[in-house]
Amino acid sequence: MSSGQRFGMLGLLYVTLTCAIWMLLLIVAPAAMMMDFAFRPFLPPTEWGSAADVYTLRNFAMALGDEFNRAIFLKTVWASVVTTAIAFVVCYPISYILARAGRSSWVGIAMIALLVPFWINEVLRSFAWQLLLAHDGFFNQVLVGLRLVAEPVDFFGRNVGVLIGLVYTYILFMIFPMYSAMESLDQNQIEAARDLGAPWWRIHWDVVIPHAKSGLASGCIVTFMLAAGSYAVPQMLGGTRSLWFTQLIYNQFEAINWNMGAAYAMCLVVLCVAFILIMMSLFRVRLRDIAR
Amino acid sequence: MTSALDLVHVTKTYDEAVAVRDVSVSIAKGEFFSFLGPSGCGKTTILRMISGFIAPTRGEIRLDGKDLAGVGPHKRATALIFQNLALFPLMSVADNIAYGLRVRGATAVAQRRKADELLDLIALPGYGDKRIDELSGGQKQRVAIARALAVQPAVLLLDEPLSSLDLKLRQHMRAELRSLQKRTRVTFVYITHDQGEALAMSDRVAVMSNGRIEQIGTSTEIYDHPATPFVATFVGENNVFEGRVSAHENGMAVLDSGFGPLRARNPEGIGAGMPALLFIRPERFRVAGRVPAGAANVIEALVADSVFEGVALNVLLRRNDAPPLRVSMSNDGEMAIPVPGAALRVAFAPEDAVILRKGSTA
Repeated sequence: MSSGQRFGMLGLLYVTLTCAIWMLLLIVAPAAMMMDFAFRPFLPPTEWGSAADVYTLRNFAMALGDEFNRAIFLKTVWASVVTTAIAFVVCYPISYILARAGRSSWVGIAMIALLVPFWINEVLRSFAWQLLLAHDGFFNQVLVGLRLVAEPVDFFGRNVGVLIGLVYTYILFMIFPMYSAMESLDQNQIEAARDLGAPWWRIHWDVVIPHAKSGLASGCIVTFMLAAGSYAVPQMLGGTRSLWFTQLIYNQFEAINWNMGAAYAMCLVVLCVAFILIMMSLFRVRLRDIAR
Repeated sequence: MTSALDLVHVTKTYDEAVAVRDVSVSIAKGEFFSFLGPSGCGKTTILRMISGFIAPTRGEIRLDGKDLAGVGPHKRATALIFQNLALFPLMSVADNIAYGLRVRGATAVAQRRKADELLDLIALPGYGDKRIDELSGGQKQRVAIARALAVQPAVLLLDEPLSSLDLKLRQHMRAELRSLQKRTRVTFVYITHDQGEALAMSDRVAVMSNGRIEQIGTSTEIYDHPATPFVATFVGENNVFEGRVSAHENGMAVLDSGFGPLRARNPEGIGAGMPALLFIRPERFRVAGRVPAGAANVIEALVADSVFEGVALNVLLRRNDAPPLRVSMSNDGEMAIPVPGAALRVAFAPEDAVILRKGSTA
């Protein structure tokens, strides 16, 4: 039964219009405005529409031409890639074990344990990590107390704190697509591969990963995008000397230079799109596989 | 000559539930051996223990004389064919078949060669590059078998492989499996609940019920000489008469039943006065004009129903309140179809019937 038959023409019209208006007003229009800002120079309002108000690439040149900015941009890219990789390695076994455990009672408990922290605000969770990783925080007390290190470790200095925070904050976004992709795998296929002599790594390489690849790809993509665009975590766990790209964007907007801010933001968008395309070709998935 | 596979007092319990009870079987090399029984009788558990996915609680499983305890499924010389086949959907047919070799590090050339060889064996030449979802049910079945044969197992384990196929295809595959087994001379261990399959394909059958083996024998032995009431009623159709043994000598006995005294074989030597069951198959009755003069075991009853099933005519006879008697007449065109309500005279030879101790039936 087509949508038209099910809801009647009026219903169909209602649904289409509300979706279209929502998309246009809340997604397309702001993005278009941002793009517009990005390509125009920073001018006081009196000069808007004047001769100086032309489309230019000057903002982008300043954004990425500056060595300092470029370094921060590359650091953000690098950190997001590392975050995604760590999250992948950490979440793969967890998702696999949960998926294979089926309807066991402890699976429900594990799910709740993963889910409950997310009911708490991201900023508060980052703050909690700040306390834990502090100079006299819990981890340092344990490490020094057990005499594993001579002096307290500076987790914030070398971006370790930020990476831990980023992996932790977005862990669910990696686990759930992986879990749902792995859960749909027929247990018999795993057993068949085992029965034919495959060692465990082969079973994963030949059977599990090809089956779950759309879930793996979408987990990586979402984690990367969230890590690259994260503001609270680097702000709170990044240490005083470290500056992140999102903070640059924030600073620009704070200085009312929306044009530069928008240009920075667009760089981030382009980066994310590039990453998505790379991931899709790496895992050999098509857009509709991820959309599921 | 060492047997291919030995199960020695194998038992499997889950908490209090006993899935497999003290099963001991010796399967010869090159034999087609079937475990036959209803769902829940333990045959699947036995297969999973042989393949290595479950460990027995007690007892040993020996392959070629060597105990398999602690040996994982990937290291055993067995190959399992799953009920739902479990082919790898994202690999081609040739890659599926050669998977066992790929895992063992064979070169791509060697893999392809073996795949082609097996595709010829299963009569699907040139199908190597096709995808799994392009195949029909019977073809997938054959690819699953080829995949298992590619690793040259000592024993091939088949888990009700024909249960999802339609009737004609099942009959065709029965003959194919049998001929494949004869050609490759691999030991087949087959589990099924379909007795027609088990009897038609196997060299020997083990009939199981509630985790226990009821009887092991050839198809003829199981059918004509059932050892327990379960085997007598699970395999084929059988009429059951309850009663007490009144006389016995020379391996024969007389049972006093609701249909009068009946004479039959007494392989268990049941003594006089003991309660027992008598079994006679529907097709072993002689009807009306074919009852010889002076025959033993003559029964007069009324026809309650007669059902024409093509090959045979199945007649239900009743006398008083006794359980109905099932008689099967072959459709040879020479007998008149009995009319419901008419009286009918039937008889059976004592050698065709068997008296067994009371026990659970199917």
